[in-house]
Amino acid sequence: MRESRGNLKDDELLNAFRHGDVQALDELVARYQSSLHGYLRAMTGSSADADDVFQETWMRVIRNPGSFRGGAFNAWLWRIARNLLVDRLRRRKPVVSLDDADPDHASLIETIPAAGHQPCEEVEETEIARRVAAAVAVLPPDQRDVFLLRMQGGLSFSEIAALRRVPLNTALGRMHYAIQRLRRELGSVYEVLVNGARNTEQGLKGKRTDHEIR
Amino acid sequence: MRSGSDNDMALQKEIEQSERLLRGAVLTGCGSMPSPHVREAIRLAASRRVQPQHMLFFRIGYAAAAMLLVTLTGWLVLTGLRTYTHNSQAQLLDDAISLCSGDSVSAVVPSDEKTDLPSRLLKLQGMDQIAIPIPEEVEESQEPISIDFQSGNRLALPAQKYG
Repeated sequence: MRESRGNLKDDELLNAFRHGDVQALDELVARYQSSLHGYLRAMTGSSADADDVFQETWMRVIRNPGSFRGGAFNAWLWRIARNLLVDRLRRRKPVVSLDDADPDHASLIETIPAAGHQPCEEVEETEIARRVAAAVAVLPPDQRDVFLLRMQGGLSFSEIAALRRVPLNTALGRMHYAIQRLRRELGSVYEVLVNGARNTEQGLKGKRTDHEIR
Repeated sequence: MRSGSDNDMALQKEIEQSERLLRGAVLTGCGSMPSPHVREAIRLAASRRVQPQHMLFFRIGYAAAAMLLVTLTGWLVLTGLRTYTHNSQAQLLDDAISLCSGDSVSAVVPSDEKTDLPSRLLKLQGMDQIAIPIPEEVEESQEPISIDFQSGNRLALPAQKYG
């Protein structure tokens, strides 16, 4: 039964939950818990805050699954999470807008504490993953937000642009700057990633050639 | 010269290449798990959200059972009343038979028993044969009829009413 749920798409699982299948929701939470919680933790800089927003996000899903009108489930889920995140920050700083573009004032999102240089220190990962996570944590908040929405949320750039209420090229630009900055921060680690990808690609090509010869 | 959308497309392709390199490391490095109590709270909320739907079926079941009980009680009460009335009328007929010494006794017979009336009176009288002239219009009538027992061995409908 668990396996059959694992084969279902997100919207099918949500529909099953609407018809009373609690395990279907459990499957959905399991699918997104690492990426969503990771995003929230990176944006709030606190496990406790991430837990709160994560829980409230799923409570919204549970209370009102009918508000999902089709499309990409992950975009819907991240929109709920990000709105809750913005509300939470607005309650802390009621006067300043999160996306305030006034140059005299720092935008609220820039006041979000960075997750620190060890954002995911409790998680056991490879050295590269740790270095990447540390580099992501020191990205400017706007760039970090777009980068994580894209990488962890799996949102398209048009979905990110709509969610952030910015033009598409602004979303693309922030992502581009984030990647450039990560390259600089990671230095040799980024080269390792590039070489690893190159080797993998060559290996695949070799296999293909062998296959073609045979 | 490239248009703005061409630039966007080129930038997007360049970004996607870098994404492929970074994705695995980002997902591993930046993923984190919620506390177990958060998962439990979500499970509990999901179960509670689903419960009312199940409760709805129970409520419908209870309502149906209650309606059935009320209907059954009503039917029993009505049947009891009807039996009581019927028995009272039967007793009145019995009394009429035993008292038939020339006095006139009248009994009201319910309209749905009119067709049984001859055989019933025969049985009560203990006689093999008796002439009970019940006109057709009386049998077809929906109204209860009144019968006078005028003599010990003879039953007759009042001539002035049905004759």
